[in-house]
Amino acid sequence: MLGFEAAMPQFEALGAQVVGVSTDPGPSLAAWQKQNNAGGKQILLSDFPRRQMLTAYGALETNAQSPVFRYAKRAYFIIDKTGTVKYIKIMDNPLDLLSADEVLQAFKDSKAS
Amino acid sequence: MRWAAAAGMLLLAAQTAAAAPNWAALEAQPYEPPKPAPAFALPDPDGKVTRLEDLRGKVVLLFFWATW
Repeated sequence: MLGFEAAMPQFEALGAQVVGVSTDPGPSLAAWQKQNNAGGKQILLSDFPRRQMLTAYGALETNAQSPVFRYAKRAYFIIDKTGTVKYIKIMDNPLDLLSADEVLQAFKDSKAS
Repeated sequence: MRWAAAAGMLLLAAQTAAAAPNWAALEAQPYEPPKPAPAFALPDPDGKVTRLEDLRGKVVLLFFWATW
């Protein structure tokens, strides 16, 4: 998330908006933002406590073998300018992340094509 | 007929590729069939609510970043 915050001017220049959704409550997100000086450009939203957005996007995993039991998949969605879901990427390992640099490069490549 | 259908699919694929980031490079999957993104209205840390329709006209990278 910090990488995306730093890269937001470049995303904005490409007509893109980064939206991160967390199941953490708002005060937890606020504390994280303050601690990391990460407020501002990217949009952070809290899907707590109902997790309705996770459900709507099919990104809620229920795993009886996991001590967490129910958790968000690490999932990325690309929504085009008309509000249509075009691409999806779900990480097999929820600890894996796409870097802001590689996502930014994907946007730049599309502009060049 | 099959040739025409295949050509149409190639054209559609080309248009889609030109309109979206190069997610193939990131091994992302096309969302088939494309569908309207589910609406949402969620608060940010300051309590300000953002709706999907607020972002219309921009390409949105939406991701779920906390996993529990």
